[in-house]
Order: sequence, then structure tokens, then C-alpha cells
Amino acid sequence: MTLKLGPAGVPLSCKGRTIVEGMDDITVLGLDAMEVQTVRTIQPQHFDQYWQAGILSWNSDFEMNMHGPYYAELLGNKRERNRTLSKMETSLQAGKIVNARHLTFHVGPYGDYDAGDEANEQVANIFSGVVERVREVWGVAEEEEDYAAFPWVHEAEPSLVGIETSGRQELWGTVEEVIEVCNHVEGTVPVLNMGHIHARGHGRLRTSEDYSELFEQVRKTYGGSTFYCHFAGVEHRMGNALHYTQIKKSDLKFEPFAEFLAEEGDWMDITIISDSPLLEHDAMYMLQHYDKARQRLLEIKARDERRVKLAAAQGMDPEELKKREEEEAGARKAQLSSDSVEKLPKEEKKEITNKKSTTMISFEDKEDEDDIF
Amino acid sequence: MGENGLKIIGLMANSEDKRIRNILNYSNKIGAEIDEIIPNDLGEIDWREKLYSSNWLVNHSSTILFGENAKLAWSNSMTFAELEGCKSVMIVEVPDNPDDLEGVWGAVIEKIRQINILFLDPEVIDKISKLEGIPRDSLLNKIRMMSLIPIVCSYDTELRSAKVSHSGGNFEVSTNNKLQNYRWISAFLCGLSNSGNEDSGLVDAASGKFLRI
Repeated sequence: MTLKLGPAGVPLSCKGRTIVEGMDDITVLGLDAMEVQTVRTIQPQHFDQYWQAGILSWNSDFEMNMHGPYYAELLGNKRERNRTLSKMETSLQAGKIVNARHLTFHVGPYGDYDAGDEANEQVANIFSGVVERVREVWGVAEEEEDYAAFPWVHEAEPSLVGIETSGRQELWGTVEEVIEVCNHVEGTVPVLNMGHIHARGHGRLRTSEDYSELFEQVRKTYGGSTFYCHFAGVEHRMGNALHYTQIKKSDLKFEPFAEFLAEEGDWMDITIISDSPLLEHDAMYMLQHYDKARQRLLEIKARDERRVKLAAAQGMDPEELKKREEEEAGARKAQLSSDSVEKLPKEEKKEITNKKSTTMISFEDKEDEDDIF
Repeated sequence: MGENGLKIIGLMANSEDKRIRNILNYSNKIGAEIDEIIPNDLGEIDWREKLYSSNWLVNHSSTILFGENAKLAWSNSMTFAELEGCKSVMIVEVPDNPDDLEGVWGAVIEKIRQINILFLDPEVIDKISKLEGIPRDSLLNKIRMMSLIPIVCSYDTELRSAKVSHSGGNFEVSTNNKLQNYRWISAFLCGLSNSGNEDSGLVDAASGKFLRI
């Protein structure tokens, strides 16, 4: 499994505000991805910055990505659609210079369409054009010499076009819609914005099983093992995201996601972009929780392995041993809590009782529990 | 805390920044405790102490045009406000040099997730509307819908009309008197803190009801 984490933009704590300075800071924090926000026009100063960022990402494992215009109306009238497409063109040009692995786009309101096949078809048609355009822009053989300083343009795969799930009922982009379109348009990938999915699903992502269900749905209906996600706290009401919050303040917790990734995420290559108001702080928070979840899983695995070995040595069934361990742990817990309300002389009594029980099965020692490895 | 139990802090571009000072002064007149941050020496600023006890942090979009210190403080202030539970207000007006607007608006967009109230001056609405290619009438609502800012608002002094777009919908309300923009913002912030975030409370706050009590 590969997990890449990073913020949506230059880190808030970055003293400089350029992308390259931001990348340095992200690397120092132990993160390895970034999603840059699109600009309206690529000015010469942007161009230089983007190229440097592209070189840096090309020469390292750092994953650069780009987010398209924050406002999109792809299902609007011709004028609205063209306006959005022209903003998207800037994003894909910038994405090429910056060596973006993913270009993330919103679709926007349903406009005159109802949710359903017709709207999905229209979105699929538009994104076919976008993917075609990305391929045109990347790696034109005649331009190879002109792009000698941009090796990725000819050596890397063009950016994947990400279609983001939306967080409001009036915006196109349920998980099903996004997958439906991605299934029909090669070169597109679903961008699973967990905050949006949670909000739109009236708070559907609460446990690691919920995440398991979501990824199973995506795996079954879309296939593939590479995922690109956004994560932030979100306030929501009636199936609509109201606004982003830091993760700690939201009912969308990262712990269950971390637990799912640690326990069941072996088959996945996943990039998680923190688009919380606390960008890199929350990206770090996610990384810590993921590390904790993995640590916990390793502890459980080590305990199980040891139990199997001990059971074999004692000629017992591991399940039976587990049951016995649990009973003893429960009894010890109960005794400890009753001891805590008793007076001091009784403390000595407890020690004797404990010793008695621990001599029976030595691996249940308190010391052992703390030092599993 | 002020008479109304409210504390508003403003990030000045420099010690002579009249825009933020005006908002603070108006707020103070209607009972809010006020404080200011001047980004001379960033190392000297105790963000936590300043923001922990404040309800609102007021920033102006043009502050970023006043040098690196101001730009950095502008960005940091919203991050610390988020951490300390102080809500950020962003005032967007046309910069002295209108050509700077695209850069300024781009910087605001970058910080959009940390903004709780976005105030757009009527003059800037026209320009952003052109920049974004979004019709003027739907600009506030569309910005709020796509960026998930809790409140996007504007006040037209000549028309005595306040427009507010929030998660519960959009409304337009008149004030009794012609208020200067900054005075309306002060009244709105003080009103919000008094009437809560319910729809009727928002209307009361936007109509300047608080000024009449």
C-alpha cells in the first residue's frame, strides 16, 4: 500500500508563499503530496515557479496535483460551460508545467438537467473532451525539443483528470454519478471528497465499516486500486455541506478512515489531500492517526501470533486460550476497580491474589502487556 | 469583553490603516471591546493571547499589498483564529490600484476555507463578477455555494440595502438610515453576536436593528 498525504495549497505555516517553498516545508513535515490551486492566467512569475515545482516533483517522490476552478458550471448553458472550460484550460496548461499527476475538477450545479442518465452523459461527453485536450497538451512529439527542460512532458503519463464528488444536493457529483462517468471516460478518476460524501450522505461516514463499504462500492463499480481523496472536517445539514472546519471540530472523524486504511487498505494506492482550514496541520493529524492505527494493528497481530505459539506449546486451541485470557483480564479489571475503593491494607491482599493468578499463565503478566515486543 | 460581551480584533496593514480602524471604532461605539494587531514585528505578536478571547477577527483584502510582513500576518492571523476558535471576517474592496484586484482576489480565494464572513463592497462585486464570469446578481450566492463560506454579504450605502447569502438561503433587507459600509459591518457583527445565527437573527443583524435598540 502506498499512502501519500499533503495539503491543498502552500502550507499555512510556510514563511514564503511560493509553491517550491511550500513543497520544501511539506517535505520537512514528513508529507509527500500537494494540490495547488489553479490560477486564472499563467503569468511569467507563475510559469517559473511551476516549472521549478515540476522539476522538484520529477526528481523526487513528491506528488504534485492541481485543482481546477473553484467555481464550475459544466451543466450550465453554452456560455457558462465555455467559461468554465476556458478556466479549465488554464488548469491543464499549468498542470503540465507543474507535472501534476491529477487535475481535479468540479462539475457544478445540475442546471436544467435532472439527476440521471442525461446529465451523466453530458458530463461524460465534456470530460472526454477534457481528457483528449490533456493528451494533446502533453507530449506533442514535434515539441520535444522545446520541452527539453520538462522531461515529464514526454516521459511521464499525462495528468489524470479527477472528477470530484460534491457536497450539496443541487450540485452534480454523488459517488454513483462520479463513478458512472469515470467508468465511461478513460483517463478520468473519481476524486472522493470525504467531507462532501459524508455531508451529502447525511453523515454516512462514521465507522471504519462505512469506509470499507464506500471503497468496496468504488472497487466493485469502478475497479482499480488507485484513489485520490480529499479530507476535511465539515459542518452539514439536510444532506448539504455548510462549511469546512478543522477535523477535530467535525463529526467526520479521521480515526475510522485510518483504521480502515491500516486494516483493509493493503490493496490501495491512495493520495489524501487535506483541504481543511488547517491544511498541513490536519494533514499531519491524519498521518499521526494513520501511524497509530498501523501500530495498533501490528500490536494485535504480534499478540495473536504469540498466542498461537503459546497455545501450541501448551497443547491448547488458540481460541480457547484467547477466551481464557479475556476472562482473566476481565477478572483482573474488576478486582482492580474494587481495590481502588478499598483501603491500603487491602492493597497488599490484592497483590497476593494477583500473583496467584499470574503464576497460572505467565504471559498475562502486567509487564508483558506493556511490552508486547 | 465589551458591554455586549463581544470582542473584535482587527489586523491593520500598518498603524495608519483607517479601514480596519474605522470598523473597530464603530464597533467600540456600539459596545464591543476592540483590539488591534499591527504587523511591524511578526515575532512580537502573541497570536494566541490576542485571538483566544476574541469573537471576530477582521481582515481587509488589501492588507496583503502592504509588504511581506503584512501579507504574512494576514495569512497567519486567519490560521491562528481558526485554531483559537475566533471567526474570521474578510472585507474585500477594490484596491487603490484596481489592477491589483486579480492578485488580491486570488489571495482571498486561497484562504477561503478560513473565512467565516466575506463582505464584498458593491463596487468590487462588479469587478469580481467580470473576473469570474458570474452574473452580478448571483455572485454572492454562487461564491458561498461553491466555497462553503458560512456568510457572504454586501451593503449598498446609497440604496440602504444589505444582501446576505448564508446556508439557510439568501435575503435582502433595508436599513433605516444610510450607513457607511464599515458602520454596517460593525453593526452586523455586533448584531450577529446578539441575535445568533438563526435566519431571523441574521435578518435583524443585517437590518441594523441592533443600532436602534
